[in-house]
Amino acid sequence: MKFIFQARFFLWLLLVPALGGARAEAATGFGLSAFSSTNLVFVGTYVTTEINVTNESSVVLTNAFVTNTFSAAVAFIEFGNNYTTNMTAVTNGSTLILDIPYFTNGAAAQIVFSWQPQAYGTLTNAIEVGSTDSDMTATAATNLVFQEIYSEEASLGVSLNIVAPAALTNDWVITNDWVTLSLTVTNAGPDAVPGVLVTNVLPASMVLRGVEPGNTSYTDSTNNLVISAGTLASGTAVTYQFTLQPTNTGAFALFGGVGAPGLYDPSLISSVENHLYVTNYLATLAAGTNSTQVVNPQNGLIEQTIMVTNTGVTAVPAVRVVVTGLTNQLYNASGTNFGFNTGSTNHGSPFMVYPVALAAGGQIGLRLQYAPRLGFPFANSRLQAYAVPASVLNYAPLAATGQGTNINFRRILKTADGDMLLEFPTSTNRTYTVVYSDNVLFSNAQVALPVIVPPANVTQWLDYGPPTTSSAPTNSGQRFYRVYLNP
Amino acid sequence: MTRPANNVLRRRHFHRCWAACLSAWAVGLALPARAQFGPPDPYDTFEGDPGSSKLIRIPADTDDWTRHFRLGAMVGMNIGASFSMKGAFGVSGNNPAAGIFDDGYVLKDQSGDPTYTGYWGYDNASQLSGSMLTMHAASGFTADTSAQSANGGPLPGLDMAYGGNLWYWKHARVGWELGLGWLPITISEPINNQGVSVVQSTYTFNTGTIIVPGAPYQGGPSGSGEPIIPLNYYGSSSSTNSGTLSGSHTLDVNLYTLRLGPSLYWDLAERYGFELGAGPVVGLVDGDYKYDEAITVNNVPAVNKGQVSGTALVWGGYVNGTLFYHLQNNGDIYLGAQYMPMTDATISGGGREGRLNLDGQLYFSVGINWPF
Repeated sequence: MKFIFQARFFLWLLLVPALGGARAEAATGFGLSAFSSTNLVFVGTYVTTEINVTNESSVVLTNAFVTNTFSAAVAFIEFGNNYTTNMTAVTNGSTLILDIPYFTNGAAAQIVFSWQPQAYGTLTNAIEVGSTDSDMTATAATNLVFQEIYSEEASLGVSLNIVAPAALTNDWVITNDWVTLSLTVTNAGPDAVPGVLVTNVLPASMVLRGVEPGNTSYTDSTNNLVISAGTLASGTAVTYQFTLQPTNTGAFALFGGVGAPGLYDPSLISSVENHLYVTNYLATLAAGTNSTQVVNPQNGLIEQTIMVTNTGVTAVPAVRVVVTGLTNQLYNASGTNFGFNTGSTNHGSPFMVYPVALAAGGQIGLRLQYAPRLGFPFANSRLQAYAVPASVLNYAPLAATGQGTNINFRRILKTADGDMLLEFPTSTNRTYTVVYSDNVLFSNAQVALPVIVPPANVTQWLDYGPPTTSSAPTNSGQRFYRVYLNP
Repeated sequence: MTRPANNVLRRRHFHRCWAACLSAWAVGLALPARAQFGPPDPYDTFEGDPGSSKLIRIPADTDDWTRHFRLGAMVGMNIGASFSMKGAFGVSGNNPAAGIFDDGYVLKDQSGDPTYTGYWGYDNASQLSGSMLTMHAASGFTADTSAQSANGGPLPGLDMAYGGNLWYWKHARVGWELGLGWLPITISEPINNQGVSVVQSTYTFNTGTIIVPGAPYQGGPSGSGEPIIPLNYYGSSSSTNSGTLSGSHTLDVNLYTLRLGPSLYWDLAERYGFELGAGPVVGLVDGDYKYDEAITVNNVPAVNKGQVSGTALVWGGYVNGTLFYHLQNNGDIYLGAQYMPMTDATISGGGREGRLNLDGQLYFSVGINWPF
């Protein structure tokens, strides 16, 4: 294809040298230099390339050819020069050949042509000048390299947060807990971005247990997750949740990133990090049962006592006992997964916490309550005792005056086995919390866990000691109670 | 009454009004009339022969109004009911075999435990003696009550009639009328502490060592986190005691009437007319005798609810008078009064009898009449 010389293109002869852009120098025989009007190029951008060629030989040349070979598809628009009106151009795919039919020795030609990239990615224009004249065998070559041809412009953002367990403070969790990580990607525009890829780099010791939404398309290569988010319209956001299980203790950095092929986003912060602290404190704690399963007719539950012993040489701040493999509900489970195998932590294994330091050589009995009250096989291997920092479970006592309505007790009395029975009216669609203290002013009140979910219009709550309260009521000189209707 | 100048036009009006009548029947509303009532015609006269006492047959091709259809609302008054019971009656509100008692329940909970349950409750502290919890269930009662009467207030209903004129007599027209009426009737009679003899069973549950929650207590179905007691009662006994019956009896029926008889119509003035009618009437009473009772013995109320359905044919006579106001051609409004004594209707069963007293019925009605 031949281009018709257009006189107005001479304007570029004056303008283009003033613009920045890619520049190259070349060889003897021919003098060759080239540069383009811009390096920020989008698909479809109108780009002008200027090539300066000099005949540094001592002969007059016929047919000096300047060949431009682009590495990817481009569309040629127009061309011109300041040397001759007889220059012609031929295109072949992504190649443009300019022919100076008569090039006197010592002359210089300034050639300009414009073009548009057709695809995003790296683009190189390999420029070569040569001649078919037998008196000129030398050639010169140079490359104009565009590191990136962009397809769209947008400002993407990414944020990464731990959202569960909700009771976490300082992002501390226990080994093998299940942690939910939320990663949100936003597009502030101006363009919609197709082919968005979200990356989430996990520590090697972190086991991926699930990704939400369930239909998320992702690859997992050695804990480097890459999610195909598709097209993200301007002004929209998308959130993914990852369920992780840290298997080792330590502080872990989590990285999230976002990008898209051909995206121009000068403000992109490609990753954020959020530190996850995993503790274990797996001390020399031993747990085992010393009782059979007995139905307590006062609460309709199976009860069983286990003993936790600290065989180490140092005290532990608190004790956490995880019970695995249960077919019954651990009715008095506490902490973040109150309920029955909720799956939110501990792979669904419930746990209870003795929120008091256990001295070296110390031993504490914990009462486990199961529902329904049908017996089941139990082995000590189902018990896993951990030493934990008390703060992990957010055991800060609640202010006595800050929790809902104070409920009046119908009666408080001691049962035959030494438990304290608190009877108060309840609504089955509400929950209640018992707070206890060793003084009537409740100056050091503690919360009895778990929260009460009443099964009847009257609730008989039992204070049987650990783990629901810090000690058996019979071991306390005096104990005062309040019950609150939760908001 | 002013005659239309064009008979064809009058017929067209009839067809339109007949369609409007059907629509009004469907929605219970009267449609506005379509034509304008013209100014009095000084040359128009009432039909008939005022000077003669003979009946003059109205010719078949007369342009005068010879038929009418009317539809309106009515209220029925002076309608009463009486209720009586005699014999032994069951009690519907408990089922001891299923664990439902008059003052508590002991039901199987969700634990799967075949012996104990947390799904139980009781109403009164007096039911607990030591560890023994007593439940009561009245299995039946005997009553012999005389008829207790009750009057229904103004009862709204629907009335419609179709009729025709056959003769002139002086200024009046003599004809016939067929009427239909529908009257929903609900009449209740309260029962206040009538003496009855009650068979009551007592069931005792051994709560064992638990601290029984204070009354009233209603345990939930989960069976977890609540005290449990045996599913089966420890012992039972039965006795007959004097008790009281309270609550209400209700007759909830529909009365449909069909009447047919001669009518006498005359125009009182340019826009006013009056009609008298009388004749026999038959009716159908269809509905329920409902009872909602509490049988109380030893301060334990037992709930007894139910109903007896029935249909009865009634008959009698009627006499009525209707005043018409001519709004326009083919359009009147009317006010009517009707006295319709009929035989009583009885709905009975299982020792219960509800009697609907219709011997002094009075109806007042208002609506729209379409002469054509």
